[in-house]
Amino acid sequence: MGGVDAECMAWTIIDSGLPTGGFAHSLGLEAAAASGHVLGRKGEGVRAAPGGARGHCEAATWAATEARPDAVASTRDAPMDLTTYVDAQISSLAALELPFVFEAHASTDIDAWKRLDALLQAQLVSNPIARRASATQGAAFLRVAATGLASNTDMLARIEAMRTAVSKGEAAGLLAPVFGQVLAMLGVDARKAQKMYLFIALRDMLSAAKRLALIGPMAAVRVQSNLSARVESLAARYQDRPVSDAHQTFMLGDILHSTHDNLFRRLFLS
Amino acid sequence: MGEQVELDGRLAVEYVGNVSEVTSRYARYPLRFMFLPCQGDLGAAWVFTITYGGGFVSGDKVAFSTSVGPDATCVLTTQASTKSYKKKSEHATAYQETRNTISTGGLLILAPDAVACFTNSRFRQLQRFHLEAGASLVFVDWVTCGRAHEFWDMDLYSNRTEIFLDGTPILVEDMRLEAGVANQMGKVSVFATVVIVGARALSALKPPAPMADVEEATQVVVATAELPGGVGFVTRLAGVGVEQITRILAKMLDPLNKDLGGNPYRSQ
Repeated sequence: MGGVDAECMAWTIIDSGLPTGGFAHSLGLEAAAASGHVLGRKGEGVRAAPGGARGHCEAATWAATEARPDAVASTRDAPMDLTTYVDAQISSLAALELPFVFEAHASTDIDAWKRLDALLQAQLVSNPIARRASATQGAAFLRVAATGLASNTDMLARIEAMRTAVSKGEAAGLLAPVFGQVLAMLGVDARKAQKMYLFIALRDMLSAAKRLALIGPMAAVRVQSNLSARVESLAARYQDRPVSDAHQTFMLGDILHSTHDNLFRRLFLS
Repeated sequence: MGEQVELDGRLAVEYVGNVSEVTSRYARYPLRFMFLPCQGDLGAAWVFTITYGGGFVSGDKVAFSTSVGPDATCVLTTQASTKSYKKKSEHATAYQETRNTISTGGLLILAPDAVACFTNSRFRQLQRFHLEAGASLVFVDWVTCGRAHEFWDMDLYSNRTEIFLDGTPILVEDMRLEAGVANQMGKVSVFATVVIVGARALSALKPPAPMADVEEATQVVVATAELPGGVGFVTRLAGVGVEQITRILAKMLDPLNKDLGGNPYRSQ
């Protein structure tokens, strides 16, 4: 496939209209906000969420504390602001999952893909919410690839073989290894695929933040454009690494994320 | 992964004549072991690991192996927190590696005090467990933000855990905290991970209940996940204060008090 086609393909894949279900996930933001550990940036307002999930009142209390000039002295007394949370979560995602996108992109062998899938499953054992979200989106991405993106019968056969492996329980179909495989088939180069992976996660988190009323739509654009530079630097730092180096960096975020199903009321699947 | 490090210590615990005995031991500077044989109803072997200075100065490397034989019971713990001291030179990183094997019917309780990350310290750890089918493990791993006036101000805390059951990886965790993470910690000053595997551990121990109300949940976050195939569970805790987390750990291990003759998280 020629370079121009791959470029257009990349645009198609980062389009938020691609039906992979990313909009249904907040990457732990909903659980973190409900626990009172995250609030919107000062001046951007923390409003009660639609439906008033409990815990948002807690965030509002902390926001009020933060507004007191004498109360900002130490990071220990204030929860994280939204940008800090999103940045930390994207960084951790880059450190953990880019190696899986990278290695899956490098090999067309289905058994190699299954091994990567199993290893990522082991690394997500303590966060079943993240594992479930990844498997759901991986399956949706494979479906889109089969019905909407596959450009020849060879690619279609390979994608169908992956889908069969998932339905037989031979693989979970986690998103990062699926993404790497499919983007390689579509001729998108590995570095671009890794950057796209982070960009999609950033976009989905900020979309979730808007719907949780943690940030307004204009402010979200500003945060996204600011953090897009971070996506560049994170991709540069974590791209092309082996999966033996895959690790996490945001301990609190990962633990909060894994409590998602305990939320009394929730808007997102994860 | 891990480096090709020479072992500084070796421990073997076996079930001999109704009690668990340390049948092989070796330790060299800076590592030492202390033993309390034949504790509790099970006649468990208690082993305390001690490093000179109570912790790691930059560049220290300590590696040791533990093997728990069929039906044996071993409690491996420490006498005080493991301090990760300030680095002496720019990239001198302290390193600890443990390799643990547990045979069918054996139970290892690895329940140390927390690692305390002092300002500007660099610490890396690899803890690897190989369980035969039917082996049991209680593994507690925790880290604190440093001394009283310090808050996640270390240079590096890198901690990798790999648990294999019958050759299959059932849990891999790799967490790396670097300089500048303090603003991602909210008010949390301690993190703990507890992994419970196998029938002997599962029959006694239950995960702690999630914090019921919003006020409590801002002090301690509790998250439990089942291990693949229902062979056990992993509980992760994030806490504002060390005392609360110590209490939760002590309570989790209480059901084994009589069998083991004590609780690593209660003062004797």
